[in-house]
Amino acid sequence: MNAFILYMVFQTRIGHPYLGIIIPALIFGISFILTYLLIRYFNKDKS
Amino acid sequence: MITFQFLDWFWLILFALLMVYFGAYFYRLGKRSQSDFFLAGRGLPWWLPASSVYATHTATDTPIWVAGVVYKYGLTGLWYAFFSAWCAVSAFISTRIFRRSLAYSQAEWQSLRFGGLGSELLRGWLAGWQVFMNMFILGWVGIAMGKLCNMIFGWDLWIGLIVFTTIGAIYVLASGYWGVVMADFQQGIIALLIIIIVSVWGVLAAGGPQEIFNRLNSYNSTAEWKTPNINTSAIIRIKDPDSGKILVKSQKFLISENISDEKIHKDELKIHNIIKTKNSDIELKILFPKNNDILRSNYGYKIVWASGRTGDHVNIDYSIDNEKSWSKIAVNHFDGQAWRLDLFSFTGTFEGQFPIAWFITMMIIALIGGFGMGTSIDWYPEAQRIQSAKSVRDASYSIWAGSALVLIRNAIWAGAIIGFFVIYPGLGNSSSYEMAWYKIGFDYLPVGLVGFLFAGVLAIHLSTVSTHLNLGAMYATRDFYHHYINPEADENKLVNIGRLATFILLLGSFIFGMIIGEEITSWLIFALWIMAAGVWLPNILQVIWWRFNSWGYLSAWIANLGLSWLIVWILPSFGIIPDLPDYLQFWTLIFLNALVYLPVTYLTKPENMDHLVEYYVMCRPIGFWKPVKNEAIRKGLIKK
Repeated sequence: MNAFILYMVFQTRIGHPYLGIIIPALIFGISFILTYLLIRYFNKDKS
Repeated sequence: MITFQFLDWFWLILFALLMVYFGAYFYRLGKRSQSDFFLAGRGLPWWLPASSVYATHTATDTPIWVAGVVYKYGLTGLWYAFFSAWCAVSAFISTRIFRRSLAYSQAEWQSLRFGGLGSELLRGWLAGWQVFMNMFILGWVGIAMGKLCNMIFGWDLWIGLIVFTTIGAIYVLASGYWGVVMADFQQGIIALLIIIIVSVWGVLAAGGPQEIFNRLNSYNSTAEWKTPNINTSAIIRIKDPDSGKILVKSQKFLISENISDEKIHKDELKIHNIIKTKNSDIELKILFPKNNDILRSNYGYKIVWASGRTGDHVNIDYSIDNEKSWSKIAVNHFDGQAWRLDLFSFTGTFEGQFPIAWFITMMIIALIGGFGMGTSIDWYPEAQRIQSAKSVRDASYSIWAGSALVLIRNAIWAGAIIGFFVIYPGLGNSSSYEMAWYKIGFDYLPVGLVGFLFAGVLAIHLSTVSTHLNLGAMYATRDFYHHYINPEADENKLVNIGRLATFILLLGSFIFGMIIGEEITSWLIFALWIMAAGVWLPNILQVIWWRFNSWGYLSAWIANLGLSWLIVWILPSFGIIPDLPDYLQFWTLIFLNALVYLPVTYLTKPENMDHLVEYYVMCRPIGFWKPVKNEAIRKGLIKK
């Protein structure tokens, strides 16, 4: 915690601000699709 | 503290809802039976338990202690986490034996392997121990989350501990292991991707791979030193380890307890710059501390000296009595910083911070440990995943693949930590550099990705706490309630008891978390390494040697509890034995414990032969089982 205040002095964000939308959206999409497929897999398995 | 923007909160809340909803979605499957609530009906394809193995063993404290060892020891520190490789052997040996038994838990397996009163005592003992251990693990990963939230949001430790563990408990209470393993699948994907992203950012922040290499080759030499807890003047010297010749002495400096946090921050900033500034003098000099410096007592610093002026290694000592006596700071310590990129930067056979003897010990633990069950505390959650796989083959694949991912993950993390070192090389206090991976992420990722990073941290946290809540509840329900209290309980009752046990574990974990507080790494090394040492060999013997009996195993456990505290804490603090390095503690405990359990085993009767034959036919163990095998053949139960 102490040293963290010091680090903030150096703080520099790297990358285009759009990356904060594109990357999480992509991962959310992948995660959502795989989740859906998994639910379908078990529903099929049950029937 | 970090200010979250709208986009950060948006991603965090969206991912959190997805994870909790998905976990709770399997509510109907989880409540069907005890087998569903604790093992997902034993019908999972290998890739689901594999993702669960990976997700479970990626907790909020894991980047803290991986950062701690990699920042301190360079890439060599990765070997500290190599014990996970026991799974590579276990996948084809103990995993298969355990899956064939159909036991829910390790405690239940032991009641199949052993018989009689000893077996019953052992089952109760192990079940109680596992309830305690799961509560303890929940406490330590919970407090790691508390520490992180304190750093990010400025919250008190207890807030992060309670809020985020409770979120995990929601879907464990609803769906049991179905919820755990399904949410783990999703959380594993999120966690792996965020780990890769932060590591890429860490390497970029340090200037890229080539720049990291160049800068490590140009930095001055450092050694970590925790100052003595005393107000005094001190002096440091550097010696040649081969000839014993004194190469250089520092100027006299002061150590005082009255040093403010601001002064510490200024000093750390100064040390960063001293390490990074190439020294043009030809002569060897100690660059920090110097005669105007005042260091805080009982605090970690980096000693800095000009690199390239000594041999490959140096010994470093300090004196606080005008050079009448000297105490060690480091032995065979490396000159320069390039050694940090070497996976095999040994400091000697037995000397220094990374001796070959330590490495050999870790290799033995990792590779031979796979023949046993419980040789690592990770075995217990793994055992649940093994039993949830739909076949012996699926169980093998899941353990192998999940652990391979764990080892790959550590290597990815190391990239970010080395990048962090290049940016901030002057930290000597472990609680500062242990947060390296998180700091890289929160300092350098753009808005939106910071919120996603916290969602990844939440995924990491939830996957671990959900596992340990369900696992501890399984021992409480299956091995205590169902076995000892109410063997006639129906499936509905058992599921409800499982939920009650989950809730009690949740409350217990809060208490443990507040007890552990901030000393995470030292607790972890003790729990992972030393507490397992004395029972490491008995855990193998129970699998591979027919003559080893329940009394031998039970005595090993009890003896180890006393001996581990004696060897690690009590005897050294009274000066009866020296402070041993951790690998020597391990071998000492192995030897001393054997003096207890081997006589106990031979002085008590072997397990009943009929019981052993039944176990042998079911599980087909490897090793020294000839008398049992012969008896099974004689009875016509197996072919010759």
